[in-house]
Order: sequence, then structure tokens, then C-alpha cells
Amino acid sequence: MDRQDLHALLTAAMVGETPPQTLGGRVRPGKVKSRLIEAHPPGHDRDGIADLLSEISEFSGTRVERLGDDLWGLLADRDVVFFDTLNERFWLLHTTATADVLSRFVTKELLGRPQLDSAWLPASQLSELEGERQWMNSSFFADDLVPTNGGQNGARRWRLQVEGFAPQDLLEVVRRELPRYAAATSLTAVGSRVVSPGVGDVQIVADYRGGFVSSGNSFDLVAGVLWRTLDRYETFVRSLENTHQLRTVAVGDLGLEISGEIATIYFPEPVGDLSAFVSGLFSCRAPFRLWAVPREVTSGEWEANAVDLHIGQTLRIEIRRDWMRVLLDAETCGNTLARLVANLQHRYHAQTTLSPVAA
Amino acid sequence: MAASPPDTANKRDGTRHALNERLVFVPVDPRLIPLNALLALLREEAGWPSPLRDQGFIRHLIEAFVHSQTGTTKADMVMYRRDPDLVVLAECKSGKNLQEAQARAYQAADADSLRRAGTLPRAFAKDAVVPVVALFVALESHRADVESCMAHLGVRSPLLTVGRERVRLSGTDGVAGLSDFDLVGEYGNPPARIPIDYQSPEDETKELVVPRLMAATARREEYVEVNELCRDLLPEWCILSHSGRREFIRRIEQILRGVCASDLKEYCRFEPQSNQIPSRVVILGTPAALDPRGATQAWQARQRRAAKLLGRTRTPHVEGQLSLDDLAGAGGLATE
Repeated sequence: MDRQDLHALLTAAMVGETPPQTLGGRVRPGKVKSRLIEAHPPGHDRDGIADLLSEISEFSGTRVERLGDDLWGLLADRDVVFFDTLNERFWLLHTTATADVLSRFVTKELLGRPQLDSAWLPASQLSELEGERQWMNSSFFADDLVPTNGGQNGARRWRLQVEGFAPQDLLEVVRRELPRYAAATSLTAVGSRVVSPGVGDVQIVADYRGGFVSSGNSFDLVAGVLWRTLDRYETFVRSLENTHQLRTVAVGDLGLEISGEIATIYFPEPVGDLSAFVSGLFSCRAPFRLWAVPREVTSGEWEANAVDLHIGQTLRIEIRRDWMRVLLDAETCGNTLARLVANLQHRYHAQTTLSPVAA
Repeated sequence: MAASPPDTANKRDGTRHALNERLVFVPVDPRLIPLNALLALLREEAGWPSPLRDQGFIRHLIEAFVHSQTGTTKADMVMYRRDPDLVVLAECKSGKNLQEAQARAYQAADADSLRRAGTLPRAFAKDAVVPVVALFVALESHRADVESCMAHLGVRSPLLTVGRERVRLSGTDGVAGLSDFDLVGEYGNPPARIPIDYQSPEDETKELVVPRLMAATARREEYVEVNELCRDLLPEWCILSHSGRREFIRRIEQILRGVCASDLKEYCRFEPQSNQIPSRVVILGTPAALDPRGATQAWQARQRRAAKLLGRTRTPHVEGQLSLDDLAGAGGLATE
């Protein structure tokens, strides 16, 4: 099976014409769910990918099949998840399994591994999804970082979903007209209609955790959108790494050269209860999954030598009421920073930004 | 780096000060505050101004050798600017005094000194004459003492002092390309880009050792070799002398013995060097292999024990409040 065959098969699924015996009936008619995953396979090559998928298959009780050069299938009893690993670091997964089945598989079998993480799309990345925007979801949940109202104005929890013309405009209106609610106006998911004359007409929904679901009559069209999203995300993550990984390199035996810039995350509103914020951030819980023993170095100033439990890499975080400095180690993945920003946008303030690289 | 020994006030028991009746800690290794502040003043980083960057300075090297007529010294930082051309050799001091021989070596350094050592910025490779100036960097709280010391020694060089609320550069008269400034603001601590060096106190080094053991645990590694850990911990490891490395390894081994004998002993075991195997810490199980909910609790247990080991008596903890959202959900009320 090559990539075109896979796209044809998924197109058939989308239009309800799946050949019944394809892969033992594991490709069912219906919507296609996709995931953008960041992977660190051993060796960062095809052999490493094969080893990692074999390991996943062994632990998940599935069977792994190489379907093409960079195409793999993990076959469970009733479903199959396709792994497109053309980009060795950023993978696209596709399946026609139910959303629950896929979610359980991704959470339990993939994201529990230090080699794999979701893509984490800050608002600037998510709002780049192509097509005519027809749907938008904004969800905000501040319980972890702002556990009590503390006299603060605005929303601590927020769910807003709009289907219609230019739905994101509503968030702009709230920010402008009701600034007390601006913190909650996070961009969680967007949906678009993508039409290409002579090719197809599809609808795609994407969320900030790199999840996608699509329907329509052309998976080729969907795949184009997904690949371009992947390319943008890869550029973003690599630029975070190029800019913010801090290195100290010996120049012969002459001295040390320092490279990399400290990342600063700015809070649009000062943190009211910094102690609670720090407690929530380093609770080891999802989605931040940061381990640390933070210390208050002086009133209103905290620091933490932290561990990203997703991938087992270290980073240092220094926090004051208005901002957070993030000092990535030389090997710490840019996805860690992307995850931090995307989740702060959903749990502290929707307009949290990263400088100097815009996020 | 800052070769002066830690001030008495910063020794183990002195690193904690009562402030507003709360227990707070001096950040990172206080000896490294001047160097980290200097690095920050060359960039635009949260909370800190960038007057040296604004004057056109670029960092070149840290821990750079300089061979002057008075001998060889190691400059904490070499930075430079063009048009007007100027190379600045910075000596960062956390104490109140300057060492006379060291100060003389800095003052005697010129472009040839750096050229001989190979540490002259490449931008000046074709320039026969490049002005070089020594800059002393100290804590703002020690400014008066350092000024007195400089006057006593007859050292006439620019002095930069850095503090949580004030950053001052003085004594630049006659140095083309470097200008005085006096900035006041709520700067706090500079970013700890260099959190420790090979002389840092045990407590501060331990602050970095424990997270590295946890990171290896999260990666499901079976052990952490001490050599690798040292290389990872110490920015200057690659230019450290063999004896310096041996000494640092010895200190890290001592710290690891303590960690593995503490409340964290359930999770790690120190193994000294044997014939075939270098010294290492064996990781005894990992929460990463558990179900996500169980894993979180297991990580939090390590967090509590590490907090005790690291001497935290005040940890952030806040009770949540009942959410009406949850209450409505529990009642099965309509959401559409």
C-alpha cells in the first residue's frame, strides 16, 4: 500500500463505500480521525520507528504491519490505526475507529511513553487551519492554577461553542467589550469547510492537542490540510528549539561560548495568588505534567528546577506575577515549551504569549 | 567563575533568611549572581533591562584565558562592540574585595594578550589596535566596599554593580563605547543561566541533582552514571581541568550518597565505582510504567520526599473550592 492507496481507502470510508474486507474489516465507513504526534524514536531513523512501533504493538496487544515505505498499520481486533511516518519526528495517525477507542489508545499506549507526545497548538497555530471557518470551540478551565476566585473578576470555567459565520470574531468582541472575560477566550478547536473544485469538498475540525476529525468526499484534500498543519507546527517547534535551547560549548580550550535565549512567557494579567499558581503548575498532573520542588526565593518570586514527565527532560522555570522565564536545557524538546504555552492559554489566560517567538 | 569563596552569610545555614516572618531562600548560587546579571544585561530578558545590549555589546566567551604581561588569568566574560571598537574583560565578584594580582592582570591585558590566548573576538582579527578595558562586576549591596577596595589598590576601571532593585555602571570616563548608567526597577534575581559552577555549595548543587535523577526515572532509565551526570550539570565541565573534574565527581558522589540514604532511598541506590563499572545511581522502579492516575500519585510522593531532602518547610498548597459547574453536572442538569 502506498500513500495514494491509503488516501483512496480513507476517501472510500468517508463516503461510506469501504470495501468490506479491507484489512479484515478494520476500516469502517464514517469520519476519519487523525492525530498529529511528536515522536523521538531511537536513532531518529526508520529502524528506530520500526522498533518503537513494534514495542507499542507488543504492549498494546496489537499487530504491527509495514504497509509501505513510511506507512504502518497497528491492527487491533476490530480497528486499525495507520501511522504515516514520512516525517520521522512528526507523525500523522489516521483511523476510522470511534473517537473513544482512539482516545484510549492514544492516551494509554502512545502518550504514556517518553518518546511520544501530542502536538500542542497555541492559538496562533490553531487559527491557521485552512478553509472557510464555520465552527469554533473555546474552553477554559482555571481550577488548577486559579483554584479560588480570590475576588478576581471574570470566568474560572468557560465553554463556548459557535457554529456559523466567522465564529472566532465572537472571541474578539468579548476581549474588546467585556475585558473581564478576556482571560477565558481561549481557542480550543476550530472547524472549516475546505473546497477544491474538481478535487472535493470536506469539513475538518482541529483541536489544540493535535486532534483532527474530517468528513466529506476527498481524503486527499484533508491530507493536504494536515500536512501543511504539520509543516507549520514543525517549523514552530524547531524555531523554539533553535532559539531557546541553552547551550554552553567549549571553544577549544579557550573558553565557553553561550548560545540560546531564555524564553519568557508573559501573563496579560498579573497572577493573583502565585502560591496557588505554582502549586497547580508543578502538581505532576496532566496536562502540564511538571515535576519540581519549587522554592520561593523571595516574596513573589519562585523558581523551580523542573522535569517534564512526558519526556523526562529538565528545564528551569522562574516565575513572578507578570511573567515566567523558561530556561530549556540543551536537549529539552521545543514541544515542552509549546505544551506549556498552549495549556497556560487554556488554564490561566487565553492571551498568554511567548516572547521573542510569537505563539 | 567568580573565584571568591562564598560569603559567610551564604554558607549552609546562612542561605535562609527571615523576611516578613516567612522562610525564604537565597536563589541559586549567590556567587553566580554577578555573572548571570551580566549575561542578562546583554540580552532583553524578562524583568531585566538591557543597557549593555543597547550600547551595542555582544557576549563573546565566558571563562576565557587572557595572557597578559603580569601572567595568565581567566576572564569571567569577554564581550565586545564595534564602532567604536571596544573589548571588555569582565571579572565578576560576589564578595566585597578584589584580589590585587587578579585586578592587575585584568588591567594589564590588551588586544595582544587576547590574541595570544586566541580569545580576541574574530571581528577584530584584522585590526592591529583594539581598545581593551577591564570591568569589575559586583553586587550592588557591596558597591561601597568594592569602590574602597579599588581606590585602595589604585585600580581605575569601570564598576558595574547589580542588585534586585538597582543596576549601576560607573567609572567609564575616557572609555569610548562604554557609558555609565544607573537604573532602578523591580528586577528581582537575574535569570539563572549558569545555576552552579564546580565550587557551588552542596545545597545548591543538590537542587539540580535531584531533578536529574527524576528525569532519568521518567525516561525509564535503569541507572545514571556519575560521569554523565557531572557533564550534564556543569556548564564548564568541558574546560575543567582533570583535577577539577575529579574533585567535582567526588563531591557529586558524596551528594548522591546522601540522596540515596535519604527518604528517597526507596527509589534509588548509589553504587560506588567498581573494577568494571563507573560509579552510578541505580533507579529502583519508575512511576512512568504505572497507570496515569497511579503515576501522578507516585510522582507526588517523590516530590514530597524530595521537598524534605531539599529542606523545604514551606510548600505551595492551596485548597480548591467547590465548583458550581461540577455541582450542576452531578445533578444531571440540562446543558443544551
